[in-house]
Amino acid sequence: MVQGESQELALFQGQTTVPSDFQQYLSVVRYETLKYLRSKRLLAILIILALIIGLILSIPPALGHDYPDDALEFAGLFISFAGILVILCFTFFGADAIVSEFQQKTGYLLFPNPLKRIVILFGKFTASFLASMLVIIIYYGVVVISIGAVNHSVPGEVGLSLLFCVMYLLSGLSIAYLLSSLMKGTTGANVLTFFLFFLILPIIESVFTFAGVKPSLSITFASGIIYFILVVPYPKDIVEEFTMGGDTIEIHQFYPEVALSLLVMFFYLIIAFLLTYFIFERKEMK
Amino acid sequence: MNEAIVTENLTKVFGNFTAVNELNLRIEHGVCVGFLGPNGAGKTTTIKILTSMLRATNGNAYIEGVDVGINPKEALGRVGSVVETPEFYPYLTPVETLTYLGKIRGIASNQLLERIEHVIGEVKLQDWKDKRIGKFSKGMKQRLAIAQALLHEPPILILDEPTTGLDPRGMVEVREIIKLLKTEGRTIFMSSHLLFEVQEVCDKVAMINKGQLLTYDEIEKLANLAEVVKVEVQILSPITPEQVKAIQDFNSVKNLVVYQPHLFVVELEGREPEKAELLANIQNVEGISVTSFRAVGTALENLYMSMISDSI
Repeated sequence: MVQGESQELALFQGQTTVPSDFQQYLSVVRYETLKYLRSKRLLAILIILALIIGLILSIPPALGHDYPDDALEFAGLFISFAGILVILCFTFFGADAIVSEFQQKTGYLLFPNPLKRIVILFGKFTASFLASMLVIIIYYGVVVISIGAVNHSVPGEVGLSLLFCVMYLLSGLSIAYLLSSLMKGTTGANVLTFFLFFLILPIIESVFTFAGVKPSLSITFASGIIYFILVVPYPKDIVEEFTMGGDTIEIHQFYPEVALSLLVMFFYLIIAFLLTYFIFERKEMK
Repeated sequence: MNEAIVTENLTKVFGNFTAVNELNLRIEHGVCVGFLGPNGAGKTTTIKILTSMLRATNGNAYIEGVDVGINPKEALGRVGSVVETPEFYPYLTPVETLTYLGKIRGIASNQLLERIEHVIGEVKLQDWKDKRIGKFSKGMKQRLAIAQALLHEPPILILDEPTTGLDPRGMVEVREIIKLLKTEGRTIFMSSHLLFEVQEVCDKVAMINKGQLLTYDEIEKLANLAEVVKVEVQILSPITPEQVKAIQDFNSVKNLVVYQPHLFVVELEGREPEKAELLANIQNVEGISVTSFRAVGTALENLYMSMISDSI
């Protein structure tokens, strides 16, 4: 480099130093979270949440019944809907997180920056998690307040249920991100994520169960621990036999095992996240 | 490697289509280079590789000696870019967007607000700086795109058709900004379809077609290479087929296109002497009275047309 050039370049040197990956990660988290906080999706999910809570709290008195005396039973009324709420969270806050950068061309703004894709991915994922956790915490907060007010005690199983719910959220978000990195359109990513967890996987589980095979590796089956942890004692698999027209038919009722289910969720979290990184790192703005 | 931007045998293949084909380019520091070529020539693909949005199939792209494909974070740290018309996050305002990008690029918090005010003023978005971008027009987004490219005062600017989507006033303003940046010693690499814009703003031109570099040189030198000029001629009476034939038969005339009965354009091989000869010859054609005779198009346009057509 000749002397004149180095003098010219010195005009610009030192004015900015590209921050560390961690500092950039915090910036991505902050502005991605702001996206969700300002979105209509958060409002929509809070309305759904209010409806669920409102129905649970209003229907028993409206029908002339008291709330359950058993705190776990009362908590179960709420927590039986937690799985649906989590599915809505990773559909609303995760399903289009990656694909939207490409389809809506916001990647033209973000990608030419001195910013690693892995930082973008971690930042977005954290923001999706935080937005979802806001919803989950509000929901479990209402559960705790309600059973505290009615039953004057909050069983520890509710805390475990929350922990399992967080694990399900993380693994589900990871899968939603994987679909988001694979899909070409935001609508497709949203629809596929929702129906995968709400319809496709439950149907597959039903088929497995009908065939007498325990669907332990299904993430939606594993998510059953969020509710079943409230059942004391923890339920065990049941096989009932019926005789129809001379044939004996076995009806299976399977329950997820806690340790294995947590392992399954952890497996999906890690594998889906690694695959997402692999795809996102190579995905091009064509 | 002393140059600001270097591509070495840069190649990008999409399926069966080779968008960039062993492109070798060396852009020195402190020059403003116009990147020209027809649609599909490989301009945007090259720029996308330089800004880490595409991966090269073969070859390398370097910014200040750093391979963009290997270390994009370091390579892009001193680059400001506008690629196509980027979309912005609709839920953020221009100030929030620039704050986000400023933090990513490491502008100190105490300088950031001042820089944001400055660049927003430069692109004349002061009245919109706190409005959410969701309802901005394409032109306003393009202004904001230019603002974000300038935010961290980068020594290298990579601009893909920077005046696209702007109204005529906006185009002039952006050109003035680019001219100002040139005087500050920055390296500017900009693609454009507007040849007069490139001729007005840039020092050098890189011309590509089918992903290959046709020429890279100073505009003045290239303009002198132009061997074809276009002359627009207006005459008093409508031109007849016989008169068209007579003009087409003159020496140095490559082509003649009649646009209106009283107006035609002659493509001429040569320069000033040939133009003078043409004028004299047309005036000698029976029944023609010339009311206007002027060269049209810039030398760069003429060179562009001849080089692009030669390479097809």
